Amino acid sequence: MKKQTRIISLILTLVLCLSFSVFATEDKPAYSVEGFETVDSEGNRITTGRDATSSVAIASASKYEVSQVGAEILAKGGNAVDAAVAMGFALAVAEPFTNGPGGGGFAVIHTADGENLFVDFREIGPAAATFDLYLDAEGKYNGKAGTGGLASGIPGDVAGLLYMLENHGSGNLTREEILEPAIRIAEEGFYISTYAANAISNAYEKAQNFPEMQKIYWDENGLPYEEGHILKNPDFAKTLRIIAEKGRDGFYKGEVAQAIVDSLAKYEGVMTLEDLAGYEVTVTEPVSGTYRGYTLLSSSPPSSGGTILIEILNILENYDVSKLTVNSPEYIHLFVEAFKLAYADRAQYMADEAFTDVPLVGLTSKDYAKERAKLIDLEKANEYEYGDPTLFEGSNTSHYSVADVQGNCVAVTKTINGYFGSGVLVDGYGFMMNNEMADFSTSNPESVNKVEPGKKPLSSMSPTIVLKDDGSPFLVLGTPGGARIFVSVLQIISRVIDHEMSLHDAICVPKIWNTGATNNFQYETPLKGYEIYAITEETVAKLTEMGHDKIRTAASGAVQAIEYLDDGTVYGTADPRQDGKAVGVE
Amino acid sequence: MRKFLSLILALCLVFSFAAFAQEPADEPITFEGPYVVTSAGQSADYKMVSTMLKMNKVENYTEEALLSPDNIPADVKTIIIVIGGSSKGLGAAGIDAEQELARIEKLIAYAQEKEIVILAMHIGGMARRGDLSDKFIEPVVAVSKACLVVEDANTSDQLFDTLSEKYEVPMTYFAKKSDGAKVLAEILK
Repeated sequence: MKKQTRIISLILTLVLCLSFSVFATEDKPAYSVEGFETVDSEGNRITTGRDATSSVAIASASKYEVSQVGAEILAKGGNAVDAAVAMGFALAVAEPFTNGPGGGGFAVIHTADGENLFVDFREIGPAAATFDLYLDAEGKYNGKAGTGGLASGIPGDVAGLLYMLENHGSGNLTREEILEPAIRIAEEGFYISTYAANAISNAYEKAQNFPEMQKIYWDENGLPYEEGHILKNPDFAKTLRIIAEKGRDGFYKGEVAQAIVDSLAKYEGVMTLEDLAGYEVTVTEPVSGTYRGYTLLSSSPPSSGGTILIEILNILENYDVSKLTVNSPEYIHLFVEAFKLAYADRAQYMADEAFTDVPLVGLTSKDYAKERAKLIDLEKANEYEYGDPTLFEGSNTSHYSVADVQGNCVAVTKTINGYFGSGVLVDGYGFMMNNEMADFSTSNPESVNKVEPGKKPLSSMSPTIVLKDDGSPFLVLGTPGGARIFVSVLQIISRVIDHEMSLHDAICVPKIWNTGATNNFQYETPLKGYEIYAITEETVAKLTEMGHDKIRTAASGAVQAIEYLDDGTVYGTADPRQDGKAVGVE
Repeated sequence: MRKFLSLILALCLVFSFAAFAQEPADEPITFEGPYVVTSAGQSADYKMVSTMLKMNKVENYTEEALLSPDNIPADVKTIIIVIGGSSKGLGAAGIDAEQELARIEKLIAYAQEKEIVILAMHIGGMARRGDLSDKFIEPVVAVSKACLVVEDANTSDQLFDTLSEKYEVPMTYFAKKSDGAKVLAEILK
């Protein structure tokens, strides 16, 4: 009997131990990404499984979780703007190194009844941020526009998103319901992907100087969190709850505003409560142009992106691009010459229109482009000066796109500038402050883009909507990538229109750049499966012979885009270079 | 029945002993301090290795991103070279990749002359592979007494396996950066 009792006790103990292990709950992120792989076993980015089609609506962001948020809001009765706002807050949590309440951005909205809007929520130089603050004793740039408290412009992200919600949302969902997914991600966490782990690792040196940032992004041993970790940010959840409850004033006044000012001041910042309380969103019409019968709606100043994108396409329209093989030497040479011409104009003319006259009509005119195109020698690379468009008077970021089949679409590009912005994390509130002041010219007092109080730094962000000749939407797209943004966007547009590529292929094919008016050609190495579009050694040799110079490989951008298909559905896809996947509403 | 159960139990015990029996171990490779940690490529990974040394309560080390014969501490016995290229890091240091490679080559020549041992580490995984980082891998691994590597840096092309065989350098692979501290603890004396 005693022996039997012992055996029964042993079995019961084993059963109890097994039970505990079965019922023990693992930490699970707020939104599942189970089964979604972004990198294969050999380290190649996976190009498939990024797209979706819907007969209702679709959302495409650089994080699968954020696309799910967009689709969720659309399914609950929100419109494309509701979804875009919810995604904006969710993206701030799930991709905190590229965007967030501490930053700013732009949105282009096209509504089904034909209204077009450009919502400018770009950061603004604080009232005390004068040009001399960024110079050392010898009058040279002191590095303070890139890191630390002086690097931040007054953030516009929250103001921009809430403006869109309050003025163009459906009214079917409350602010609390719109922010709820972002709060849940902050509280329950999200998986750190390969891409995010690399970003956190790359910021290790920056974070050495900012212990507040270390609290969120480093483990208890002082090493950066790695792929697979579920990152939670309860401080950020607190901030989002305050915004959900109090709206704009919850961020631009009160405890959050005070924490921003104090956190920046700790690192020499000069932003004040008055700066924050006085922040205003600007709403205008998007800059517009046409390309082969399609209408382009894109970002107006203080972004250079839309204007310069249109100028380059206007130049290219003088050539039969469809006859050129994508990424052949002839194709590359033509595009690069057009880029250089436009970059020369960008450097001379583009800045905040509130501070300088920007000859938008001239820069986007077909006649001006025709004159610029005459300077192109199809056999030889040149370097260019800016033109005179007044004779024809007539910029480590994230992008997402949302659209419904009724024809409402939103393209949003937003940023904190560099990865992890200024390095200053608002202590106790969980978000990074931008380093947008680095987008000003801090060394040339004659520059139209020099630092001035109350001014917005030049940007290259180019959220863009392309309309068909009947005025209905065709493409919604944009990308991060600094000064390479607008040339990346225009390449996608040209590949779809001129070469009739699928949207996904147009995004995956390696891109080309030449930032600036002088020869410095850069190109991407191909994604797996797109080797046929590689810029080969023979191509590089031919381009060198033509006079192109400083040729090297580079990497940039992640396009999230949507196409309206002829069958009445919407197709969305996300760039395999990052972690995105489009999600459609069933 | 009892005899049968006893026989089973005895067999289990025998197999258990066999499973736990080990071949005599090779002499473990160890590295003597004082140590100096530097980068080959100027990524921030060398700072993470410094953190790993702190985790292991190693006190006799210094860290110098641009280590050279001119600034190397006189009593150093081991140089830990953490390989990983970063264009931002190079830019911040005011040098280009060729200048960095020249620095590393001078450092290696000095170490060989003074019989200072080199421990190579590559902890950045696939993110620290590519045109820039790869420039620094072979020159450093070739002269190292051992190399510690986060394994996914080797997966796509088995570069580290190939170099290990070519230069007879023992490789230790581990899954994640955070495992690096444990691996270091076993070899630093």
